[in-house]
Amino acid sequence: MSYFPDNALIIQSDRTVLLDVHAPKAKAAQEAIAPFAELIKSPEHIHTYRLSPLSIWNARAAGMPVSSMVAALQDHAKYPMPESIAQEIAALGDRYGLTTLKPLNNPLKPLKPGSAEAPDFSSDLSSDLSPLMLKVADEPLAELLQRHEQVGPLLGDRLSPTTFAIDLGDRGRLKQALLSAGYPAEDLAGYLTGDELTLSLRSTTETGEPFHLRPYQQTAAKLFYQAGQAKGGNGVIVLPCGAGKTMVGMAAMAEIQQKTLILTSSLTSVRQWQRELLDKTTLKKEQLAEYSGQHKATGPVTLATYQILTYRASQDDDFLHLGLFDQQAWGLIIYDEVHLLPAPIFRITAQLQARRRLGLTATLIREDGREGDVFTLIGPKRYDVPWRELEGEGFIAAADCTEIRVAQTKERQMEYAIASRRYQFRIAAENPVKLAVVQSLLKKEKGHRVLIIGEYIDQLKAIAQQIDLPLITGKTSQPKRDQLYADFRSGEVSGLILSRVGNFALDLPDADVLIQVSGKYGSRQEEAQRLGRILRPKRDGRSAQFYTLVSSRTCEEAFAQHRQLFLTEQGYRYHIQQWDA
Amino acid sequence: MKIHMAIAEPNMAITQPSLLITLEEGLTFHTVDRLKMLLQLLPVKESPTRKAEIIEAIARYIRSANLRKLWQRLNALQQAAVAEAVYVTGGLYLPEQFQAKYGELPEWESRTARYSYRAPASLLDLFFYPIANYSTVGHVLPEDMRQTLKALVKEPPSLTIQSIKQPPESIQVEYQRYDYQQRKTIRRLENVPVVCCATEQAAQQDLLAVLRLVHLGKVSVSDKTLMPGKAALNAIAPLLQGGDYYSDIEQPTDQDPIGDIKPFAWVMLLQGGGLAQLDGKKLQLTKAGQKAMSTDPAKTIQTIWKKWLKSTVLDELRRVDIIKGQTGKGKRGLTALSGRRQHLVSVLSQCPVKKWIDYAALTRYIIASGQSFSVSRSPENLYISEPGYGYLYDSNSSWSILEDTYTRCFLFEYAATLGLFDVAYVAPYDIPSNEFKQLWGTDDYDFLSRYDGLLALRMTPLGAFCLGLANSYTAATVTVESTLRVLPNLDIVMTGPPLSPAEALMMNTFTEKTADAVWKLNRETALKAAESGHDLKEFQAFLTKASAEAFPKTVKQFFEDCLSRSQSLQDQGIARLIECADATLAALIAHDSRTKKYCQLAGDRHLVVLLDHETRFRNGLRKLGYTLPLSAN
Repeated sequence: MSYFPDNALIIQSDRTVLLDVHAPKAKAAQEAIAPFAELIKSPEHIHTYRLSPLSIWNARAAGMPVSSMVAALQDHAKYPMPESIAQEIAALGDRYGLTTLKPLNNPLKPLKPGSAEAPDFSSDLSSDLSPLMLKVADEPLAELLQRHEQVGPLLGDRLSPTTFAIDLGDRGRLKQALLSAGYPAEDLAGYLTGDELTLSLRSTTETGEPFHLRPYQQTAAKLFYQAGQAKGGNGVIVLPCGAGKTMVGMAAMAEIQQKTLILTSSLTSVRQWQRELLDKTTLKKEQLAEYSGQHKATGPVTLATYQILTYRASQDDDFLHLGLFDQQAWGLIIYDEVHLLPAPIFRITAQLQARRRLGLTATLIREDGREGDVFTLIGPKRYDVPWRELEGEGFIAAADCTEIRVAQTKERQMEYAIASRRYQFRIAAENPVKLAVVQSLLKKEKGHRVLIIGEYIDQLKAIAQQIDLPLITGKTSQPKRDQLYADFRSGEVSGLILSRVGNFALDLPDADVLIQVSGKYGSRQEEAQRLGRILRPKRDGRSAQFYTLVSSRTCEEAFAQHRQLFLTEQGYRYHIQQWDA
Repeated sequence: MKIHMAIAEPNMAITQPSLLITLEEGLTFHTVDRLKMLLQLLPVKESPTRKAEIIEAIARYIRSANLRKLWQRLNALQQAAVAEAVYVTGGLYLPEQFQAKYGELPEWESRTARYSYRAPASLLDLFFYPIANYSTVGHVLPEDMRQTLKALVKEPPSLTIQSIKQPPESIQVEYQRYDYQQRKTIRRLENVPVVCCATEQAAQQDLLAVLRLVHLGKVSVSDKTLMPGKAALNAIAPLLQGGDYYSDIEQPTDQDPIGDIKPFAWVMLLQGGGLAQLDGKKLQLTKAGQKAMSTDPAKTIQTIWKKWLKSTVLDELRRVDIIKGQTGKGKRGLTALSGRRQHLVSVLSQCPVKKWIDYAALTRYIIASGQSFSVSRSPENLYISEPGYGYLYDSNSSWSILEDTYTRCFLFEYAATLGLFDVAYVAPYDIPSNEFKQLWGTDDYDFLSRYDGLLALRMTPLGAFCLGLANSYTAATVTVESTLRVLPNLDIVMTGPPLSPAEALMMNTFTEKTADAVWKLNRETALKAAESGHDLKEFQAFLTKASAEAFPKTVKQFFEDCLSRSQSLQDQGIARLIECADATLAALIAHDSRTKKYCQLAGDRHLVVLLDHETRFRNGLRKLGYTLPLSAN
């Protein structure tokens, strides 16, 4: 096997490409593959890219020929490139553009005898958008797609040998089906024009602080909007917690200048969006509306939660609030924490392909494996940046992660040993010795702003009793929560104990120590999101401390290992300590 | 007459009682007619007729100062024959040995004439005499003459193994084909490249790779012959550094297949060296084999070599499939294996270290120095092709194709595979025609053995160490490039030079391969490997050495956890589970001084007794007044 030590790429037959960041030509290799390879992991020594159909089609859409992609890989390969890779890139690249979704401005006469009437577009969600057609490259492909199990039923009348009428409501599902058939559609059908909304970003915030978008935020917004072209206007932006995803959302709004619906994961998050919009844009309070359990208002910018949209009185009832999507002529829908998107929203999003859609997340990991649906229905990943890169540039706080292994008492260990497997995790997670560790850590981190997060309410209550910090759980009323968060921000309370309500979309900029006493099994996303709570850059530049307490010699160790995967793949290192009472 | 001699060091005079003490004794064995012919060669005037007088006349002349004149009348080659007899062979004329050393035989009319009884006498006949009546040709220099000649004759040049600078880059091979249209034979000359194979480093890596494969239970052998099957050979071949000798050569389909050499050798060497043994149908590592995985491979190779010389696992001649009769009638005549091998080793010990030697020169040296040996005492029972034809006694010399092919196999398949000798070779069907092709029944074969292509060899420092020529061996320093990167998410990525087969096998044993260049540390896989007897610490040490940086904390913790978990349980052996009638009885037995040492309470009514303690437990139980009926299982 030939070997070129200076080259940085290791190309594998499973279509992953490893980048040895220490190789002399690493930088050049990174630049060469960035246009057509998707960054998956970026731990400190080896970054992993994937040659996905989407990444290749995106590169083709940007005008990059297949030969350039293959040459870029070959020129920087450390070991010989597997032959199949070049063939696969060619096969995938050549499929791009074989199917195109376009507006049907001049509908042709249907070919089928007896179907002379115009195509039925009654399922249009947006009656002001012209009907669609799917144009395929040649007749054999048209025949193939017409017979395809998933694509066929979504094709309307055949307008010409290579053209099909498409129901407007099927736009999303057809794109999904075409993607799974391996013939991704180039969607040039454009978007609905929403009602106009004039807004701009301030240069000085309401509170008097200077404000401007950071370079990566500008880039992200630009990559999303694509200067208003049809190929832009949808997609997902992946930025670490605390890196200012809200700013990217606001920048997108400022570009589009149309009514916007913002969907978030919690009421706390709705309030945070409101605060940020008022602080950093020219929007007035009356232009913002809240559609939640408490208020059901809509306005030029409407903020709603996933919970209210998916509310129904019983399992057999309809979703009562999905009509919100049609209540106004939205020019943009922002899906905050898009990794949490619930299934009903997926379904409705499939019918909203005529609207501009922006997904925001820090961790595009779904433990249910539906990342693909996010890409198809919201749009491709437009921008992603390694966490450590932003940490290096000072945009998010540096963090030290420490796993503390805590032994159980002998009695507890025996209880764990004889418990059925189903309960073992909980016994380990609620290890009472962890309380002593929390106390010790609080002593050590005295003077810092501490968050203690756990999964089990009993455990959290026990901690709250011992250390005299307020506890916020799902049962805590929203006004009470808001008050406690405000107290924390103002410094009146030095710490908070949070159940999983503290996992997402909680902006507590001064928090710099987080103690995780228990978690939801091996959730990588939860681990990353919890770390994200303390990643807002600190004014004095101090680094954040993330402690995770794990019972030793229990299954919690294995779950912890899995939880840490996302962060270790982002380049974070965990120190492992053994707690010695 | 064929004379076999005791093995001698080269140029060391053979010291054994002379077959002829005096000149007169030798002359006596000639007839009067022959003596008259000899007398005519001498410038004497008298012409006696009686045998005693003729003998006296010849002896008188030879014993006088005229011996010098007689000596000077010999040509150079004849003089060399006499000198060899005086100084080297103990008074014997040994034509094969002489020819091997000087390249040709001395001029000797009485030996070259068709009818020797009418053959003219030669001057050499005045030096060499028969040792029995009715023998016209002699081969023994009388002892008294030998002593006298010492004053006249210079000692012959000493015999050394000629080394060469490098083996040839190619050899010229003549191919023939008959053109039926032109009705003539077309000859075509072609240069065939010679492959030089350095074996020393490869052998040490190959040893570890094959040991690991055996440890994984992936090498099956025949329970009758202990030889590996095709599947085992196919499993081993890709693990070998550089593959098998002929794996890179595209073998023509119309030629006999060459077959496996190195993979076969390793299986037999491990068995012969006591590192592996048959367990069912598979080879399993012995304790020595398991230990060898973590010891210096050079030391292990030395041990294998020493044991192989005495091993009876395989007669190397069996590898020459064309020679039939080895398992039948011919088997009885085969000489002892250890004797053959020791003999060859003593010859090989005379080879210079790190210098190439032409294989033909080596065989010439063996013959010339009188160090030949026999593979079979009854070669007439060995044959090629069919019984009744192609008997190997047709090859009637002290160095027949039997010895040649045995030596080739021993060197090429075993000594070279162990890294003791580097080898230069071509494909066996590319070597020029040899003695083999002249034998009956060989037309159907392209070559005698797969080892026929061996052209040259070079003793390595490891070879010198194993042959006892060097007291110690220091492996050539291999610059360890950081080959792997161990990441905090427990991924291991190959970023340096590709892993050797042994290293790759180790990685695959302890980790889970998730992509072409990525392995994942996985507790279950690591513990499974530990359970099968693989050493986790050894893997950790390997990874530390191959890793570019210190392990991340998560990886350190991973190893600590795995090591601790792999040592947390101890197998105490097989036990019996005994159910008691009630909890009280169980408690009684478990606490009675006569039984409590041999059993343990398990639950309320059950006792566990290790099989090793069963007899003592039963004795104690009887004393307690109970008995345990024998189980049906």
